[in-house]
Amino acid sequence: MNGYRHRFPRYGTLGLIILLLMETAVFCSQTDAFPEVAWWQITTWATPVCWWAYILIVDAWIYRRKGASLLTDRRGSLVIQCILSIVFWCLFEAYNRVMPGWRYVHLEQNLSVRLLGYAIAFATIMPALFLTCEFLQSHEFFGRAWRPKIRWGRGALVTSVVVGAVFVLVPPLMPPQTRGYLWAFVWMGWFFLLEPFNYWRGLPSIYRDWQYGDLSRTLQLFGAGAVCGLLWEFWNMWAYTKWVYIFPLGQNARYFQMPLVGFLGFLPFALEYFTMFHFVASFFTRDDKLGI
Amino acid sequence: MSDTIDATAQPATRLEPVAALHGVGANLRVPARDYVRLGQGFYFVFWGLLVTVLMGSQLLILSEIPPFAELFLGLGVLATTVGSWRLYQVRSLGALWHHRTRTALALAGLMVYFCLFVYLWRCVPDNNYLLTNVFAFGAAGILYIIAFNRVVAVLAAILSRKDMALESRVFGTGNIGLLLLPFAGIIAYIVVSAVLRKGNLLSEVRFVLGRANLLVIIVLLLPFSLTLSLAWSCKDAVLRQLSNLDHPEDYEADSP
Repeated sequence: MNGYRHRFPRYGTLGLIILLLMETAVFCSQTDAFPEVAWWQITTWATPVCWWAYILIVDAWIYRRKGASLLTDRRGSLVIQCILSIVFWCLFEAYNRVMPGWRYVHLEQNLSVRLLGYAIAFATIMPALFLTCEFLQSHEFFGRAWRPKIRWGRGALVTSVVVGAVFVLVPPLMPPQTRGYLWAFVWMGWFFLLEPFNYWRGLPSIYRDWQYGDLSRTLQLFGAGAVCGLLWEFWNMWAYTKWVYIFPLGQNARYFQMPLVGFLGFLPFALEYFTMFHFVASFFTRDDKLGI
Repeated sequence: MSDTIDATAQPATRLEPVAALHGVGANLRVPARDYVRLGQGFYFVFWGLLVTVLMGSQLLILSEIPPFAELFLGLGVLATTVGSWRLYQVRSLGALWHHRTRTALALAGLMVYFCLFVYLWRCVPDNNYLLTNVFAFGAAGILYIIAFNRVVAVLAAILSRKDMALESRVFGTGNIGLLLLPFAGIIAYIVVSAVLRKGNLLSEVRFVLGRANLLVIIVLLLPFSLTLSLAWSCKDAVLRQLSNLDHPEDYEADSP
């Protein structure tokens, strides 16, 4: 018994083929192979294509492991995740206009195509994070991570809301030259702000996990953030259309193009997306749409 | 003439089955907790919309308002959302009520979301991305007002309040004619002008605001104030129903 009880779905194989083709194109563009081919026109789309391929592969792997997955059983949830993923990332893009942290280069000139590209790329963020978390769960990574229980009093939860509100509202009001240093607060702020409401309303909640002394989901989300963070930077590095970091902190030590210190932001970012998703989705359905 | 008025005063025919379906007639027969939700909902929507409209207008016209003023806008939008949520929680008024309050709640949620862009836009006023989202905030607000009128129409039908049903229809139409269409036209004018002159959106917005006179602003704000009065009268109607349960004789004396 190896834990794999189901066949690997065909869409997973398709995802693997797409990923290999795109990686080949990226390799060719970097090595000047077949110079008569305009590789940059293909690698312009490297980020969204690689990430949708990744989603297909990981989902297929989860199906093989569990016999159920996002694409086979919860397609409605996938649609919700894609929409909310775009919506939430547009908010962070707004922060990026006020406290510049990154900028995009070699963007498509045609506005309609560019907007479509944004939507396709931004839609992958949330499914990729949550599928990676589900993948880690299915393999029982961090499955037995326990710690002393935390008892949440009303005061602690209210404090969390206040701290979260300060974290998300104050950084944009700081002097322009200091805003770039304050991204860490934005990456954590929405978690602190919204998590108490999820706790109070009986929704899937990280705070409730901590109340029971269960750290497994927290660490799995951290793991998902780290894995996706590594891949985001890896696939971004050689893409033609890509982002470059301009925030002023730790530009000397880098992982691909990202300052190492910025990599830490991916960990709370995964928690933040988890909290934001449940907070918004709960107003329209009480079902647990994620299953993680 | 009176025939014309009476015909106009009839509530929308598709609303009437709601009242028939629940058999409530002129009385609102809902669980006690739903009275609380209705009262709180309309109360929060009234004050939330009032603060939102006041602060939103101020922020748009006066760019030198100190930064903390946006917090009042946020409070107004949050109050509107809380009110919409309380109305959405009332489950005993039928499927149409549930559907329309859900729409209103979704639009209130959009207002909260785009309100954050207003907050950020005030830090970088000439940014087109943020300003576009500020337009979206305005659109969400206007659509919310229209959706709220449709919620009131359901309550009016359930209460058999022909006056309220008529007001909700007239104000709803007014919101479309005096708010939504002019807003869409102005935004289209601003965007087209910015593209043709190759300028930024903010300068076009300032140009348009500079040409607006007081009368136009009053006409545009009229549907807002009418809808606010409707929210208040709904709250009063719910409380009167509640009072009727406790003191039926007082209600008889008060009723027109």
